[in-house]
Amino acid sequence: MITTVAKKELTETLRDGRFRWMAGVLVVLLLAALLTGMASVRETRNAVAAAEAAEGETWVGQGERNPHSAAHFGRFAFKPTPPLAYVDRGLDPYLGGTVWLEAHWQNPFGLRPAEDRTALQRFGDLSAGFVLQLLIPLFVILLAFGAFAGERENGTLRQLLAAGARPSALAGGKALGLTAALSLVLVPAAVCAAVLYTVGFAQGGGGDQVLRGALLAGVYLAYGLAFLAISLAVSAWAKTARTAITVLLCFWVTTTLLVPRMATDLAERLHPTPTPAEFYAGIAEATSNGLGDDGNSAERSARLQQQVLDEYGVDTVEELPVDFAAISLQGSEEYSNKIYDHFFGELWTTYMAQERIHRFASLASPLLAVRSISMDLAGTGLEGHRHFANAAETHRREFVKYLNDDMRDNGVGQSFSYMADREVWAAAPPFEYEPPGIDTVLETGSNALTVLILWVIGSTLVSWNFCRRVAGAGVAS
Amino acid sequence: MLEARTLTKRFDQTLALDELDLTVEAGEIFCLLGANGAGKTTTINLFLGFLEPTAGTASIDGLVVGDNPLEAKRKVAYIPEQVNLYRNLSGLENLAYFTALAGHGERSDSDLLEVLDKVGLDRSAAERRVGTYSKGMRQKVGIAIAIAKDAKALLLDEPTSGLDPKASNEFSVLLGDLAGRGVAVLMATHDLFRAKEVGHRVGIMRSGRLVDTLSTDTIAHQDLESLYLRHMHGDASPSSTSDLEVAAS
Ligand SMILES: Nc1ncnc2c1ncn2[C@@H]1O[C@H](COP(=O)(O)OP(=O)(O)O)[C@@H](O)[C@H]1O
Ligand SMILES: [Mg+2]
Repeated sequence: MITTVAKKELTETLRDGRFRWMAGVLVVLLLAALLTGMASVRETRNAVAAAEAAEGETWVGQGERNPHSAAHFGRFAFKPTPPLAYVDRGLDPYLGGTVWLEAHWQNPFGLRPAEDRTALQRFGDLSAGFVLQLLIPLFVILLAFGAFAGERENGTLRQLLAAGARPSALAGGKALGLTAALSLVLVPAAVCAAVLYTVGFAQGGGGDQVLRGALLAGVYLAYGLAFLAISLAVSAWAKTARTAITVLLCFWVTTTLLVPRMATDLAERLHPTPTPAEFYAGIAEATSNGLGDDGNSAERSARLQQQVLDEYGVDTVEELPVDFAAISLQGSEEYSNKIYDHFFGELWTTYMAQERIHRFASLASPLLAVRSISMDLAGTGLEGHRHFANAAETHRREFVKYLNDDMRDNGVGQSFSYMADREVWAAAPPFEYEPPGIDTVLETGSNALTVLILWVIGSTLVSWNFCRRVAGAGVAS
Repeated sequence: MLEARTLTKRFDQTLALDELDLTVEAGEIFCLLGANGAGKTTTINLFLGFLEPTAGTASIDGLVVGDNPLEAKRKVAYIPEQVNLYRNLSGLENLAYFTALAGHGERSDSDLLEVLDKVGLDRSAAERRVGTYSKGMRQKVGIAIAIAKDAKALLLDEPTSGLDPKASNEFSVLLGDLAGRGVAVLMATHDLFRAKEVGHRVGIMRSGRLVDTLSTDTIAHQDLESLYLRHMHGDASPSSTSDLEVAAS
């Protein structure tokens, strides 16, 4: 009986001009979003590849130079754009994908607080992720609001129940038929996406991208199903189709627009992100006066000098077998690293606290959960960014230390007049970055995944409860 | 086949049905005649299990509706004033759907086309979308559903109101055929003429009570009419069969 209902539901939907129109618009939007996403990923990748090549040339070919000035000359680290970014650009456009690595400074890119202000409250770019997150629920609602309410209103429900149809079979069949109708839109879109992927990223796909893509599809399907269950529940409850659509549209506006907006505002109010001025003023202050009772820079410098003299058992800097200027540079480097760890650690703590609020809010808005899982699976989320930022910063420290060590060992007595050459540059440690694997993504995304699963289970139970009782009062008159 | 025993329904202040006792035998057409608000629809809703009786029972083919709602409903067909169908499906598809949901599995299209033909919907009509049907055609699909699901009883609620006389007549003929095949028919109507035409017996309802029951072949039309009017104005006592014979003579 369930398949009979499903078949009839599908036939009726397919014959409905409004469905064909909406499905067409949705498919066109999705394809347009995928194509532009694709073009922009390729463009970014090409630009990065060109810049990387040129940057390597420039670094190695910089000529003779003092290593510390080479450290100021600096290098760039590029965040690889993951292929699935064509589905969900995530935070990449807000956080940026390159960072300049130089001595003393952890330069801002993603971590520039000014940009991060908007990073967590992104809206409105036409990516496939955006279309899926906002328009799938709307489409599902328009598909399903009349499932029971419409039939109740035009009397066919009464007639069906009079014929001896089981309400549970009606509910199951309707859910199945509407899922099929939804699949008729999503499956071709997913196939197109897969074809585009194969054609567009023949090389450099990366091992777990297929698994990620499949999971991404599963997540959006679960999201659609949660909204389908809710739509059926409301439709079973409402006396008229008009009531059902009104309630559901309110629900859509609340869960996809209002709650995310409010969550962002609440997160910002409870855990304010420092302005860039505040943030860097704090760092500058700590650099000159020291953290805690580490003392100001002159005191720290004197302490380091005494420590090195003791270590080598000599009385003056001139007697040292190594270049003290280089040691001192590395010393201040390490102290600034400590300061960065402190301040960026605080900043990340703030972000994580904001994230937690979003997670709580996702109990009221599945979009928040899906948005976060989607970005993480695509490799464009906050965690992915943090992973890259940490790797780049670790590399910066290694790179600067490499240059300071070279000056310390080979520049004895010459300090800043010591010149290194091509060989030293070429042997500098390369930046090799491996984005986090799927297991890491699933681990960091487990909260959001749990919330999504709760939504699916909860909405199904609620829906079941309402649909079961559809034979009740509303049909008697 | 259809049986009500002291069937009573109260809505807050209104006693919509007051201890109705009624039996409709297989092959019999029983017309419930009454003005608006007499309790006809309430009676049918109770037989369909859409309402819980306040007291008493309604049973179909020996099954008490409240105890076996699904099985009981699978034995009846219901035709309301407006047979509501899916506009975007053809008559044939509608029939197939309602029959399948009545628990009769999927019937072959040729079977169903034959049923539709029997009620006067030829193949081209059967394959058109119901959105284009006249009211008479939709009522015929209702009858077709009853035939296809092999209903033992038929519950009709003002099925011919709003039909033109020709369609109305065709409908009556189909009802007669069904009864001829042993179906018990309970039809609510306020159309005295139709009740006398179609019914074997007519029950006059007023304020939730069956105030009189008459055999149509023993009463002339005018007598039924005057009796009905007297009941409506509350100045007639329930007639016995002998009263009827007196009235008829
Ligand atoms: N769902 C309901 N709630 C309250 N009162 C009702 C309901 N259905 C019917 N009634 C009342 O019960 C009485 C009988 O109504 P009904 O059976 O529909 O009459 P009929 O079909 O003979 O016109 C009327 O007074 C009507 O107002
Ligand atoms: Mg009525």
